[in-house]
Amino acid sequence: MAIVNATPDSFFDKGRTWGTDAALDRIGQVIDEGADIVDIGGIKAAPGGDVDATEELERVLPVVEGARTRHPDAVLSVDTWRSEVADVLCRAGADVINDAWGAVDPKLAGVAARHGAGLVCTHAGQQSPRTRPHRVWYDDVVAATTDYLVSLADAALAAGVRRDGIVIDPAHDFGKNSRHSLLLTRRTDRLVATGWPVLVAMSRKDFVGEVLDLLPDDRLEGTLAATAVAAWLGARVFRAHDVSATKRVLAMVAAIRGDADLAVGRRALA
Amino acid sequence: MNVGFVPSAPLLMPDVAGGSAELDHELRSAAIAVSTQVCAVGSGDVIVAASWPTPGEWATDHTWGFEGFGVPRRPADSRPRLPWPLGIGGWLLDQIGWTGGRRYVAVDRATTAAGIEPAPGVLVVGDGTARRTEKAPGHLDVRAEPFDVEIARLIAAGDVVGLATLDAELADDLMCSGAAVWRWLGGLIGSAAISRAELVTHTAPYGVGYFVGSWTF
Repeated sequence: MAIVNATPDSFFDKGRTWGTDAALDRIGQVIDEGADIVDIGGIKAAPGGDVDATEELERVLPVVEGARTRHPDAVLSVDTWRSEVADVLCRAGADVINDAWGAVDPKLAGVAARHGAGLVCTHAGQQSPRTRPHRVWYDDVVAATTDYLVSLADAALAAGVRRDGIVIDPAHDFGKNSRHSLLLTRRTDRLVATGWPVLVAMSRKDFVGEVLDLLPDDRLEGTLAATAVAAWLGARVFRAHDVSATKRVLAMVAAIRGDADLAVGRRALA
Repeated sequence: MNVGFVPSAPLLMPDVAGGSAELDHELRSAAIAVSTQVCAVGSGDVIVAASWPTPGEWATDHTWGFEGFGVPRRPADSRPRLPWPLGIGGWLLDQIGWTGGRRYVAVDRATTAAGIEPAPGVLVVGDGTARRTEKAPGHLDVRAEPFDVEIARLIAAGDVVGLATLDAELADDLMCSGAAVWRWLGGLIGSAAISRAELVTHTAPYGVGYFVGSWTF
């Protein structure tokens, strides 16, 4: 799942794909690099100036419309917590709603159901959108996250969301400190054991930065290490800024797991 | 009575801060020094008090532990855990080797000090606002810095009533964790005459207002 920000201020790309044309160019590029899903968001996760639903749609709708036209077969995801925004975007052709703040808007699952769209169910610590975690305490972060995600997925199913469209996301760093994110990475298998497909969104996040004491620009290797571990433990979808590198890591892990064969099988075999 | 003011920042615990523990060495040392002053009472109980959503007294068989932040206590200790802000106070008392009596008191905005038996030492764990900068936990609120500056002034001046009567709603807006326990402290002190007040430090390196100080009555 490739990240494409229709924002001027997201933490890593800082506006590099700001503006409809730039976002559409980026979408073309990540599809060329092999992204299976494109995740388009119009509001940065960090606190900042208010972006209301109207402005969010002004940013994202033309990108979704353009991408739908240019890439009719691509899977388009929209990163929003607002049901009214998701509704318009699904009408414009979005296939998946990435509810990255975790069911803040109770109507969102209904929108996904109505449009036959997929839904990413997320554990964001039940924080308000665009707030930072502060001294967050979990008696057992893995159990709390797993149980909550299963309840969200069950609720989505009950609301009529298609079973094959539901994935669960532990939301590294959302409502969590860096150690919580590491614990969830280490126990990705617990999430996988729920039977729901697991999405991980770890790309260049602070928990990687705090392990390595590096800023976002230098977090690629750390992100890929976490990606490899989560893939080894059974995660299925990887939300990423760096598509080619992520694809290579996933191909390698798949081969080690025995899930994929060699691309070339000649060495010592001629 | 000796009163000490210390921060309630989990990163004060070296095991919680990990590789960056040294960065906050000065703040940690100041908190330990003030805890030593509180315990200079020599005998009798030290009350550790902090704001917490569930008010009450915790039995002294409880101890600190920060497992909920993802940090196992080493070596392992099977005793039940205090709410973590009280745990910070308990940890400070352990650092200075306090072997006298302890009482752990958690308070919320509505908790009064009625029925609390005074003690010769009170260690108050709490912070100012958490909205001092754009990178602060609560993002920037321009009201935060003046609010903290006023807290610093009240501690430095030994103004018991002033510290106990901070604007509670504004304190909530600004994520000021100390307001409830400082209010409670005012009730505990009552009309006792203050003989010495000192603000050791007021800093906000991460957008949260930290205070270290002490009062003597």
